Amino acid sequence: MSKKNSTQCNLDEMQQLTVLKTAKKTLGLTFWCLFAVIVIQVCLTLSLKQIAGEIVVFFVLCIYQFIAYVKNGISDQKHSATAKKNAVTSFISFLIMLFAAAIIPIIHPAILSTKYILIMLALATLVFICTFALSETLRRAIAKKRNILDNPEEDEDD
Amino acid sequence: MARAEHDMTQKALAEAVGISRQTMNAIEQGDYNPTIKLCRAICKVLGKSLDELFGEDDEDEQEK
Repeated sequence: MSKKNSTQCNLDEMQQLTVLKTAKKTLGLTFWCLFAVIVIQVCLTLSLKQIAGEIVVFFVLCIYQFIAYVKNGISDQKHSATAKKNAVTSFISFLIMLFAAAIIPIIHPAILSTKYILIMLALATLVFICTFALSETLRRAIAKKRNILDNPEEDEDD
Repeated sequence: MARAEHDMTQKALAEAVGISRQTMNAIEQGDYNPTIKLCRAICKVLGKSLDELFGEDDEDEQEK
């Protein structure tokens, strides 16, 4: 390896790959831990103001990853997204919302009412719709970008 | 084997190529696939061609 490479980075290529894999796992852990923290704190405090900071960080992570994936025309390396898979993951988020809605009255019994049930059902449905819409938008944007990257416009030299 | 011909330790070869001993060991064990750049650097140090060092053996091809 050239001396230039050794002055730029003190890691060889396998070590750099290891660092990248570690960073990826760290990001995944951060993302899901933050998500869990938000859900738990909403259930405990019933207040979004108190977790505004966590929500901002969570959305910054989501937006950055969204933009990076679309820009590079790639997504998860193990699973290719389809409308059916997006519907399934959206339904899972719907169930998580219902689960949180079921937990909250256990912690705050006074909140349970017909109005509460209807509001939580509406919110869960909204979560389903938004999750599906966003994931489908992402899937289509990535497919479009992938098509552009794989089929660049050729120069007309003739 | 090529390393033994030059009477080099794994550490010495790794230092000559500019990588860590861990990486060199992983390459020799088949646990890591080096880039073509690194392959060529190793070939240069050992004075061998890519086929000689990284080509598949005839026995392996027959087994496949």
